[in-house]
Amino acid sequence: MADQQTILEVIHMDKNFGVTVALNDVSFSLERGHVYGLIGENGSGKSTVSSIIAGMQTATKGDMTYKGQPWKPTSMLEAQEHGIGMIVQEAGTIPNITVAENIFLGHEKMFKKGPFIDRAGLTNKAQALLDELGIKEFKASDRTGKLDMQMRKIIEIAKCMYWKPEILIVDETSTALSLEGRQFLYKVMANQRKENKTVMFISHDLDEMMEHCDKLTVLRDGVIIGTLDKSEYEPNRIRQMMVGRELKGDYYRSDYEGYSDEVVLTAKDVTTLEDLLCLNLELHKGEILGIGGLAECGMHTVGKALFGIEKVLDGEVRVKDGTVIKSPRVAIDHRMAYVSKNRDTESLGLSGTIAENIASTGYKVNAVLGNLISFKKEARYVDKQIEDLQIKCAGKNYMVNTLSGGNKQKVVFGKWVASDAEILVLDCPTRGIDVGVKASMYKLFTEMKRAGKSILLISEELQELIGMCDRILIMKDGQVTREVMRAENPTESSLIDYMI
Amino acid sequence: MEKKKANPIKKILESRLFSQIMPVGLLIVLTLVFGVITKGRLTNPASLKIIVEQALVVATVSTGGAFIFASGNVSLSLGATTILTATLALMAYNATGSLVVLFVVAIGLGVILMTISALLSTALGVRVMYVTIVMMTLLSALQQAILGGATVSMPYEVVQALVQGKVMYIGFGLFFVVCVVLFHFTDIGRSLRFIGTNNLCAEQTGISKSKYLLIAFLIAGVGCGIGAVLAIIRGGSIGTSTLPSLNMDCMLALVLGGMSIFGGSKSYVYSGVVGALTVVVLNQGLLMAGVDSTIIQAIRGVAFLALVTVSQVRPKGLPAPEG
Repeated sequence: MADQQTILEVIHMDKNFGVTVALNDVSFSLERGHVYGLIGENGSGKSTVSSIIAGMQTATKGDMTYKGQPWKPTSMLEAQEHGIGMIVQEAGTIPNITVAENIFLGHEKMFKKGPFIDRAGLTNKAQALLDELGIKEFKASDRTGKLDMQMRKIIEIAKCMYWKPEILIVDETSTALSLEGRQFLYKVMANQRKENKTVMFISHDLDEMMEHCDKLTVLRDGVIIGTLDKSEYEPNRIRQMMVGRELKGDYYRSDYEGYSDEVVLTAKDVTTLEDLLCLNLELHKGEILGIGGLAECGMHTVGKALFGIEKVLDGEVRVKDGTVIKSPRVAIDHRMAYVSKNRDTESLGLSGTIAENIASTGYKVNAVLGNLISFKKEARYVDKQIEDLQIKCAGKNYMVNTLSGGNKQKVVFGKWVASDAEILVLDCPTRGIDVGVKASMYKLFTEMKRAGKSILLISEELQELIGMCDRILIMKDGQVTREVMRAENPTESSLIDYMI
Repeated sequence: MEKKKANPIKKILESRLFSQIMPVGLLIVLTLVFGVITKGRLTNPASLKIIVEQALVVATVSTGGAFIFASGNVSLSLGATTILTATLALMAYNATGSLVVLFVVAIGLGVILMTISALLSTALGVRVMYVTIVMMTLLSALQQAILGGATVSMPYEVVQALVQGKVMYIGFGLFFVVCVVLFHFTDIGRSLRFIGTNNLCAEQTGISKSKYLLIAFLIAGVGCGIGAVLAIIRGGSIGTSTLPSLNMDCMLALVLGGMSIFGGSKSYVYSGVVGALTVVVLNQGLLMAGVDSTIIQAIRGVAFLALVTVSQVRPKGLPAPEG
């Protein structure tokens, strides 16, 4: 029987998706006034268990109690009204409506005046909430679509906090946030604890988990491996529990190998409609060039402009043979690749199969007798990536949306690695990826660099930039304001200073 | 996630093969059911031959249309294009007496009319569905203006010669084989399916939506042209009331044939053929069973809506959320 301090119990929970077991006999309890961390590799079942608690889906087997009563929510709205709010991993806002309408989505009846909805009242109430939370970057009346990903995530946090949740579930939210955004989220979580409420925090960032969580529960392959108190935290031990094998020390590059003088990609005075102003950069053969900056600095637009997705109004992007990159097709024909930060909306066909996604870059190379595609060659093209990148899947003909976040990212990588691209523009490539997958990605980057490939790494993770890049360009207001060499051994604080 | 010992029934239900075979199963079951209801009248060789011949026009047009639907777009002008093309091609034949002219005008006009739709959509940035609604109205009005209340006919002996020469089967067969190759063995089909899955991702993978949409409309135009010739051979004449529900039949055929109305991964070029046969079996079976033609229209509408609804439902066992 649950005591007064226990707010939620999960008892022998199973969840199957067809033949795949997502949760296997999972049991744990949450107490009031604590921040609980749920950690594990991609596909370990973290989001599955939290989404069942929050009413997004139901368990195959097992029970839950909430405040001592049986708990079986049928929808997120029901869970929200009963005090369980969840900020989901992927986009949870609708772009074509206002911030206020997103905050009260599904609860418009609260503002009913006769047959009409009191829009002014709805907007005022949402603005009051934003003021209370100290959010000044946008207004309740703003259209959501014009805000960037981080701001849209902040809307979701505000939306969740309106209901003053007894349990706040934060699923992989911090990866979408910049440093300031993260600080805001941590403040919200700390306030929950102070008010004797509960937080369930899911993240792949071990440092932030260790810093902000009172207890850490490790999941692997749908099974709880163990729960650690704060005093028991030790990074290597946690990593080992997560991946099931020893994963020692630093997984970044330790070398100071340089790169060739040969310039493979040049951006000269690149100006775009909104974000970039006379941006200049050169990427060399065998170089990992990092780009970092605060939110709104324009770094994500750099990737799009270099790959020909974002229209360049002035200036130009050229590859080494002098060709101007004006479209993704031209970029790909010159052996460029681009991994978007918005993986699910831009980099993957979620309802397509794993094979279709990987093969999408190989129509030409897998063709025989002109334009006829060889099924055999195509199968080899796909299988090699699934094997080399160790993509965990039930089969290559399964849809990509059956995969966990990390494995989806591997599929994105797979399609570009398979295309044998020489220049890779990677925008936050390790976002939402667990430590095991991250380690293998970094190893891959290093191998690519050594093979003479060039990587432009846009990242919001300073450690990643410091650990992996030969050079780091710091951006501010759409321009490069500082160049930092690997040999200078930059620190996080020095980079932040340059950004500010 | 770990892999559990597979439940064989679930595995079969979730398999891609099952979704491909199911439409054929539906066709067989419907044929058998109506065979029993009509006490064998539907399944006798003469009736089956009529069913196949009736299905050829819909099968041809929808096979071409499958390329457009695969890209996640819905074309509503396939029927009107086919009928106007048939009208003008038959008039051209009557003026020249040349079968070559008939074929050239039919295919050429089909391609031109569909290309206009594609260019309007890509150049103006208007969704294919809206452009084709306008085209459908425009082309039907044009046919009405050309024919008025009259019909245009092909001499009986020419029709007979074409029927006996198996031109309907040869025309459809050649077009179908070419479409199968283009759809399943070249980058055209794959690119269109990928555009249907996520057009933003497709663009960023170097697949030009405008280019492939234009190709899809060109192929569909050829289908409309060949379909127009088959409609002439089958009916011997063309009027404003010829094949009035051809577009609806094509859409119904595609979804009955197992194609997702939203295109993408679950798009198959043979859907039009299997579906066309199913549509005709349904029509003929209900007619032979004594069902009123108005009610048959309603049944077809309900079937279409039901199939579209079903195709929106995620297969239960497949899309697991984030782990």
